[in-house]
Amino acid sequence: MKRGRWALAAVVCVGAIVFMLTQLGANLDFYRPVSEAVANRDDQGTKEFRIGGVVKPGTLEQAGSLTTFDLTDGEATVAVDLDGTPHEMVAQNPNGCIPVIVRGRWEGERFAGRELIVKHGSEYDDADHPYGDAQDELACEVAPVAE
Amino acid sequence: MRAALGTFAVTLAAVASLIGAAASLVGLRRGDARLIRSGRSCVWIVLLGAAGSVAVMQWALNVRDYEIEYVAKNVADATPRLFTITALWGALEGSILLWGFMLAVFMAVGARRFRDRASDPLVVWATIVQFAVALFFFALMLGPADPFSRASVLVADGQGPNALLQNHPLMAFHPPMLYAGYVGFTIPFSFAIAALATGRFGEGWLGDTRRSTLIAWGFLTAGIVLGAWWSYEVLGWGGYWAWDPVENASLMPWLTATAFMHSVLVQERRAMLRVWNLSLVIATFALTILGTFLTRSGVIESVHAFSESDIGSWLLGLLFVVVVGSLLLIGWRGDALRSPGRIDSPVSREAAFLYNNLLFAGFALVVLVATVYPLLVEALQDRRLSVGEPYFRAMTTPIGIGLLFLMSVAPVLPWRATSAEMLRDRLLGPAAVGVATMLSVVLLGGEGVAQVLAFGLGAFCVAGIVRNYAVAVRARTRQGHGRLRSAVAVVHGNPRLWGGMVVHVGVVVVAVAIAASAHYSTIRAAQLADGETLAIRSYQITYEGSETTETDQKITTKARLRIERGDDDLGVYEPAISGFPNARGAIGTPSVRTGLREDVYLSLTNTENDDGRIGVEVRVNPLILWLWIGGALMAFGVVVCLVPQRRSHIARAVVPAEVAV
Repeated sequence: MKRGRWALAAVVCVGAIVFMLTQLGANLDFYRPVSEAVANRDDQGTKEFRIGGVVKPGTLEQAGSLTTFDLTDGEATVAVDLDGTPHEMVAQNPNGCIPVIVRGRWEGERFAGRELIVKHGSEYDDADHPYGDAQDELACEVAPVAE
Repeated sequence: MRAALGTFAVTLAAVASLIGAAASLVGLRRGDARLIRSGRSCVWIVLLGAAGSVAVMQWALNVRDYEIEYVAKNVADATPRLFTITALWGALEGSILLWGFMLAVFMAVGARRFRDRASDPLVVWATIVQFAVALFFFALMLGPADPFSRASVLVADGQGPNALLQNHPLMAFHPPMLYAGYVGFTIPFSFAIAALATGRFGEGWLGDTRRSTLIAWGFLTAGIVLGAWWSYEVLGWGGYWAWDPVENASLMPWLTATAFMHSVLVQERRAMLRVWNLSLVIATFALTILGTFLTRSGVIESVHAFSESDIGSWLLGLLFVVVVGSLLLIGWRGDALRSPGRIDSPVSREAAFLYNNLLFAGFALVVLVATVYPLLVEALQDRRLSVGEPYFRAMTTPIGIGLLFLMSVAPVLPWRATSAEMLRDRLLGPAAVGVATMLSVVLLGGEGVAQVLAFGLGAFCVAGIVRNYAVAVRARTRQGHGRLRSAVAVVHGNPRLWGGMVVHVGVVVVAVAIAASAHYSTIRAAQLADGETLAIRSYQITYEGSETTETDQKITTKARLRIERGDDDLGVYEPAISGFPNARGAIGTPSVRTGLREDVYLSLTNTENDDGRIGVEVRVNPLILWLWIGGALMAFGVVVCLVPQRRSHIARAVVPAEVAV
């Protein structure tokens, strides 16, 4: 009786851990900067991942519920079709090189996004900005939005 | 001048911590009560230094002393008063300052409370551990996280707080509550280590730390709920919890602490689970340090940011010392820790507590793995990833359902063993209420197995608590007391039990709100010109023009949106977008029409564009208000638990055996 109970407990625990690891493996969201994502395009197939970069100034366009823009990390650029409206930070300041992460998948050469997240740093120090060098070349307007 | 004064105060606290620890240790070895007393009185100097350093920082922030780098980085001339005060915990160095001050307050309260047992080795060891932790944090402030370091360049105006942190008054309450919770667990931790050091790991240290554990848990609970509320009211994405590493960092110690508060009851009653309880307390403290490491060292942004400051290695070092040191202590005590008691039956109160603990520990493990795994992968393979929300949903839903079930059943189980008749007698009524609730939810069109179960088990649990309370009150009324007086006296006779039950009701309310809001929300987005209307569920949202206001702090554009339901005018709500001079881009501020049944949550995604259209996102989120109400109930339950017990023969005699803890 006692031994049976322990065996049952062990089976339940092992089962729970196996379930956890399976779930973990099935729900990993990879993150890649644009240039790395482009380099990995063939391996990635149509699996979902998160791509990171800044919105290239002057490329943001909205048509109905579809938003298109170019995403760049200074080294490579990808055209993104976002299903939905962009975050207010981007919409209000399309030339601000706001760092964003788009969740979605490759559709040929274009990236079909279903969610856009703005990266909020805890400090607004441009030196820490991951795309610091790219910003100069892109002629970003870092000035805040004003109506 | 202020910088020097601040550094002096921090140094004073650090030195007093060091002397206090040394004097207590030497005094204990030599059996010198006077030396121990002098060591203890260092607590007051630590408090003085810590309070002084916080006061100096507040002073510097308020007079805009930009010679201090922290001031220059975290306030600007235009920062309003409230956010000048909250700037103390807006960034790393200041929040460590607050941390040190709160620790000093907890230590001082402890020193007063145990003043009659000043030379009791258990208390002395606990004090030594507290001094050591305090020394760590004050040394951190003298080293890599110096709040009073001078600015290299003197600026004319400061940068101001992070835009997200100067946008809502909840910022004034959420972080201090959370820190009070984190810091508070230092006290039970210190007593756990003291129990191991003195070999007195019986039940004494549990009694000594009961109140501080409860208080810390209450603060942590309130801090987490307020954080969710802040996220909901400020961030504008319509949710309140994103399984973000920062959120997970606060949830993990809460889970292990909650497990501890339950398993303590088993040890008090049956002298079992001693090693387990020690481990839970130590794990809770270690997880608060891990959480601080995760949120404060920059590893979440990038593992490689870790090397940019020494804070990460300091905190990791402390974590290592705590975990390895505690394991060694437990191993050293080994056999002596073996508990005399045994669990007799798998259907008993103690067994239910054991299941509860397994679920909470499992919950903590689920969150820990998903929080730490991405960091390990990045460090080892240089690949960046995160764990998606479906993982958390798949793992935590069954655990949550299991916990709700235990909450319904466990409070009526007797200790040691139970009989089928007793179970039927006590559970049949509440279970019927639960089943009836599930049926009505399904009939009303509720979908989702987990959701329906959450509603049903919630009703089961509350019905059980009401039944127990009614039984206890009736027993007392029968002795000739008035009904109202009996109702109060029952709680007074065992505030810990009934306070705990209030917390349970709060948890049920939160669980139901989570289930409803996660599953039954609706969202619609549109571009609206002046006068245009968007329909969602039974609501019509009409755009009635925008208005821009400018202050030195920010430029805000508000859109006027009228909400109507049928012919009812529910008023005008004004979601806004603000630009801050120190931030790129804009920060949205949602506007929420809060209701008991559902919220209408409006966020502005863009101000008027070239076509004169604004972008709005409208969500209808059911029962969200109940999350905050449930949180408040949990906090109230903790307060009830802290009411001193009234011990009278009558009161004890009439608490039915089945509900006595």
